[in-house]
Amino acid sequence: MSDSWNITQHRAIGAVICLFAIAAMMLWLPNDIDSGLIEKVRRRHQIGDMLAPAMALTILLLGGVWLALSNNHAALGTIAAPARAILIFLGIAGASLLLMRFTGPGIVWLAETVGLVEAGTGYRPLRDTLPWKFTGFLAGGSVLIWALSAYADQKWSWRRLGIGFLIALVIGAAFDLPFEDLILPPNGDM
Amino acid sequence: MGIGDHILLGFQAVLYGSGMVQILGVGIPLPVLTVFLGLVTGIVVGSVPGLAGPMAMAVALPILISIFGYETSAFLPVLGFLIGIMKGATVGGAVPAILFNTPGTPDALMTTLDGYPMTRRGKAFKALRVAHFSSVSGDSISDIVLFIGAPFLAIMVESYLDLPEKAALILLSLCFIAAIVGKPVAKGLIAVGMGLFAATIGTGEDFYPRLTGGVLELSGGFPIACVILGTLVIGEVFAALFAMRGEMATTGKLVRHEVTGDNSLPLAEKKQLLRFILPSAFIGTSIGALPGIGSTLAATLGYTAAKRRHEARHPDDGETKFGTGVPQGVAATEAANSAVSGANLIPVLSLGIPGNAAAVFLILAMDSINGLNPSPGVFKLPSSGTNPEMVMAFGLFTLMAIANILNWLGGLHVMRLMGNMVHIPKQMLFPSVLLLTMVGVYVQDTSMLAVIWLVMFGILGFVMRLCALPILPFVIAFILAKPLERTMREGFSATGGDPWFLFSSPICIMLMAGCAIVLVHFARKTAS
Repeated sequence: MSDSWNITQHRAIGAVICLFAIAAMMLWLPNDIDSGLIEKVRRRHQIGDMLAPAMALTILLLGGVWLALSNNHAALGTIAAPARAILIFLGIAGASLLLMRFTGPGIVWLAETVGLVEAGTGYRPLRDTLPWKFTGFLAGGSVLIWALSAYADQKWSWRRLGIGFLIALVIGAAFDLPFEDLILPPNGDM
Repeated sequence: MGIGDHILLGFQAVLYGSGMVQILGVGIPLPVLTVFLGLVTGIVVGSVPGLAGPMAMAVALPILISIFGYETSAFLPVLGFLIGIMKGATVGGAVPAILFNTPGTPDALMTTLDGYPMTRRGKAFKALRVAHFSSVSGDSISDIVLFIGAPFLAIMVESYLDLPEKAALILLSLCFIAAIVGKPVAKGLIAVGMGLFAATIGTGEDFYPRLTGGVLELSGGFPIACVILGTLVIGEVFAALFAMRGEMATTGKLVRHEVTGDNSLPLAEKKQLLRFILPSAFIGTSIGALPGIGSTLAATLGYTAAKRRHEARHPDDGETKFGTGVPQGVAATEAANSAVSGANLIPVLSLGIPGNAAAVFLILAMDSINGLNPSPGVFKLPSSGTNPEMVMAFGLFTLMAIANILNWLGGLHVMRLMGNMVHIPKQMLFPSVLLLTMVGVYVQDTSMLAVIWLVMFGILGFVMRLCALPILPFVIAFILAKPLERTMREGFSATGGDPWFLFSSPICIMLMAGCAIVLVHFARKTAS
């Protein structure tokens, strides 16, 4: 097979960009925008909502074609490691945010069960009081720092989790203690 | 009221406009205090390899807005802190470059070439003194050019450019950024297209917000802070963690070098260094005034030009050869990279066009807080009364001058204190920055959805880095998309619906031709 048919890095990126731009122009824009490129409103011509995204996609398409036709022959390389990294980052961030969101209500439910908090109170009335307001943030934040740092150097340890907890505590305290109006995540959503 | 009155009012706004803070019984104007704190923060951040000024500005902005609010009185304290970080980080980047051969910021890379050999010879403190002296000199020169250049450019633009010309000017700026930053130009164009397209989602003038697919969460468009912080900061965090995982096997140990002999920097030597500082500051200022080029190229050009000049004058002088640990090498680099920071505010204040990542955060702050909407109208003299935006702009200039004075007085002491920052483990530092940014975004929007967008744009930033697609054109295009569309709509209507309105005057034709010339020129240059 001649070199002109090899999948180089630039050709792959250019092709993906071109495919996206063409698909968006043919399918997305006509079905998801009310006005056209140019509209006639009260006998006056004016630019419609479609012009800006159409212009952006034209620039994308131009860039994609230009890149695909460029003379750079660097090989595409493996995409397995970056794809795995993206999944890991999304997994760690997702798990941390879920922990952040549900740890507070979960602990309050447990406290209600063992009688530390009056039954039926729920998390909402406690979300701006100590120690409840820190529970979700500390759980999610500690795990986020612990898991991402361990991903980087492959050292999973309880000590590392403890350091993550301390860092999350310092960050939480830095935002919460001096500023009364600031709400730590996820307490504004509860 | 004339220009002089506005300058005076700007000065007064800094001193009396935002209140005083009592420290040890002495009243200090709040903006002056925030400039000082920002400067120290900037030097600290710049001293940590891997962190950079824009990252600290990103984290600080939501906190500052939460403290000071969105009112006009918050403008100078918030902008003062951010300007302090911007200036401090440039100076601080030299600390690990000189002491540990690890540039704290990318633009301090050339500082390692002579700074670290000086440290190995026991002249670490002298190298720090040279870096500080050159950096602050370059910055001061650049600020003077800003104070004169920005109003002049703005008045020119306001006098000669109508709506079609302004739209063409924004297009030229985008082409310029795409061409300069994109390697190759096609990648820069793709990044610009992505930024413009992302900005159109959930916006528009129709009743139905365009391109949302009926998803309610998209109907307000992407929050600007999530897009900018996600791609610039979180994307960098993910990329750094990914790179660290690959590089763990090759991590080395830090070697300590003792300070020996005379480390002072006498006045006579400072005067000699000025021969290298002034041309480098000129190079840095010229480059800083152009959008998108940045301080790393300025540092490289400043160093290379100084090296060539020095070798031409002293061809056989082996002792003062650049790269062997000569103060002139440190001076040329630091003067050039610091001179960028003032001049890159020229397109920001006169045109509303950000030139680099730090300027992006200044625009974001100005966009969030009442007080100044950067555009050519900022420096327009009113027929009667005052132009409050011009007063704020001169207030900003005053803050920049104060930042320089504080840097002259105490920057070196902070730099010397920061020598140990290099020991912070990066694998803990970057996840902490991620959590800090998440909290920063959350306290501003009070919604977990904002945090989710932040992570998503972080992944986009990571993918763009993997594909070597430049981030800066994406971010700048996202910011300029709204003014571009508005100016095009108004320009089209003003010309009576002329489809060729972007070519309706000689200036328009020149600017549009400039777009094509810039793209073709840089494409040929990259190819060769």
